[in-house]
Amino acid sequence: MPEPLLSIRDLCVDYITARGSVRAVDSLNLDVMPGEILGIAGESGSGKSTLAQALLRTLPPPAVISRGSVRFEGRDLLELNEAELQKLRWKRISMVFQSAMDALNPVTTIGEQITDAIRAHENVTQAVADCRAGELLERVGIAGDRRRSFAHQLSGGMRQRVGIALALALEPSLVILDEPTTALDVVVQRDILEQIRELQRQLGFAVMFITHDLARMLEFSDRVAVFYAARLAEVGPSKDMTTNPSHPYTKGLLKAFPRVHGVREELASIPGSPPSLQNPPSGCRFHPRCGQAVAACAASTPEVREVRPGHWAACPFAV
Amino acid sequence: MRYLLKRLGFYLVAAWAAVTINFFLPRLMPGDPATALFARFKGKLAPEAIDALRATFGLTEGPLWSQYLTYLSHVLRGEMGVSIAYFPAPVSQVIGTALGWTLFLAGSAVVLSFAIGSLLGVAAAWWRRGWVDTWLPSALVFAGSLPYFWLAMAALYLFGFQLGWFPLGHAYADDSVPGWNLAFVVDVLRHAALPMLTIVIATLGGWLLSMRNTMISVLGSDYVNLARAKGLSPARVVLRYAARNALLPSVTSFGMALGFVLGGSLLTEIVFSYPGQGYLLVQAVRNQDYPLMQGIFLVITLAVLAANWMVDLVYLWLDARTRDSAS
Repeated sequence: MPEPLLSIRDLCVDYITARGSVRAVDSLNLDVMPGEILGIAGESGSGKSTLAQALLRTLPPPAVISRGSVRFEGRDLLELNEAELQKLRWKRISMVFQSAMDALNPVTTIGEQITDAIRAHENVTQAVADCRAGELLERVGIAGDRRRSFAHQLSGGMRQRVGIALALALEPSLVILDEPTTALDVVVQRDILEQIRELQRQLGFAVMFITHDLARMLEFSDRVAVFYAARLAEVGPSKDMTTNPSHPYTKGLLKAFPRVHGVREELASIPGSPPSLQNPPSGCRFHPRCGQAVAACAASTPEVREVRPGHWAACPFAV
Repeated sequence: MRYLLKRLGFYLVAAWAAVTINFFLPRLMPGDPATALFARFKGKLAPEAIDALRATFGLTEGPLWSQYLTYLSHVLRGEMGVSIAYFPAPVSQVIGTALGWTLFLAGSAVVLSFAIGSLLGVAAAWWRRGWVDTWLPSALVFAGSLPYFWLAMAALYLFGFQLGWFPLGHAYADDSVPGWNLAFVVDVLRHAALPMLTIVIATLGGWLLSMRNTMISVLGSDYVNLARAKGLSPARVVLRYAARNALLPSVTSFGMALGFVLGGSLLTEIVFSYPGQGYLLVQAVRNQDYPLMQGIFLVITLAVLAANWMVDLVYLWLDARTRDSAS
């Protein structure tokens, strides 16, 4: 078993508001292996994006990391001071944001936004950095001289490619993709994901791919983690997850997606709606919507246990 | 480029409209400058002289439209006639001297206020709920909402009259000889300090608040978050990414404030007896000095238009989006 690249243990993130605190990530344990693509799925508000920002420690207040550890390349990210964090950010962990339109500074060229990332971490001249910015753009299929362009002069798909080029500028070992294709049309989504996979094969970085699009994630990722109401419901290899989901929530999710191949099945939605994190249900948070729930489910939080080798689920009935 | 020419065309039309209104407006007022001048000599002039004066001021030259045409051609050549209040000095010369003082006093006050206010706004947004953010905005808004003449007179009374730290008025001491030497420059700065300070205090709050509020929303944007995630130093994130964007709305207001500098410093100049445009304007109105009034209004209008055009230029340079929508 190789060492994990990133190892999250018992991580809790809270949003402290005047009306009390809300736990957006609750006692999370999760590993990312070097060079793998780990998908993270969950409904809106299930804590996915909060997790991404917590890893880079760029969570804006009122969010605070209240507990846990995040080991990355031999160090605990939560114990680094601001100067150490500044050195590590982007150099080792970079990120592609959800909306490429909003993630690029509207008043400076995209080239400048790439070079200032390079020059913040490496002692190179502006000319060298600028040249590298051009190469990076070529790498994601954009002509190098477009680095003189501003964000508004590019199409949505191109902007997202710029975001990817930017994320790869310093060849980090982990790239977090926070819903990178949400704002794009289906064809462009597919192109971009293929491009990421191609680059990932060449450069060998690990990917944390956050999305609510379960079908696309199962196809794209090596392993998938499913979140429900700030907690981990299930994590396992994508293939295993597709054919044989363990947690009732994952089962419900998969039934809600139409299948192109295989037997034609009736689509079914999960009854009810996701719980409020301000006042979550007791015990297993999925129990009010779960068909298999028994009295014990409301009483105690289910343990995350290994149901098959490498496949974990937070449900006592999972097999 | 075409955009700039188009804007220039717009400003030319606006300038023409202003010049025209400028011509007709004083003629709607009761009385005429010749009678005013006649009255100033308190009976020492023979009644026949009033006709001669009318002729001198061009008030008899044919119907209104021909007067208007003469006026237009004079304006184009920069000839604004002879001042009545400061007879026989030409209006252009009278305004020229006053313009310099106003540009110096109110111009530097507005620039200072904008620069300091915006920087404080950045600081207040960055250290949100810190002491800058908690105390300064309310204190400055309080100062800004006091009637300006009261603030100015209170400052003059306290620091000029009671404590004697600053001179009581004028642009320089009576015994100073104007010239580019250190003693004179120091004297001018000493005279300008208090009026400048009152303008800065009265306007600082507005700049601070507008910068602070846009900064706060910009700081929450994804690109600032990404800049932080890139591992850039906080100073670079704040200045290059956040402040650069948050400044854009303030630049518009700054341009307008600059435009109004020439007309807007009226109260300051009256309270501090400062020999600028505002002070001159009051003199002109008191003496029904039409040529001078027209000259001042014209300069004020052109200043507003020029400042707007400059803001257009600065915007093109600051924000690439305007460059593209323009062409």
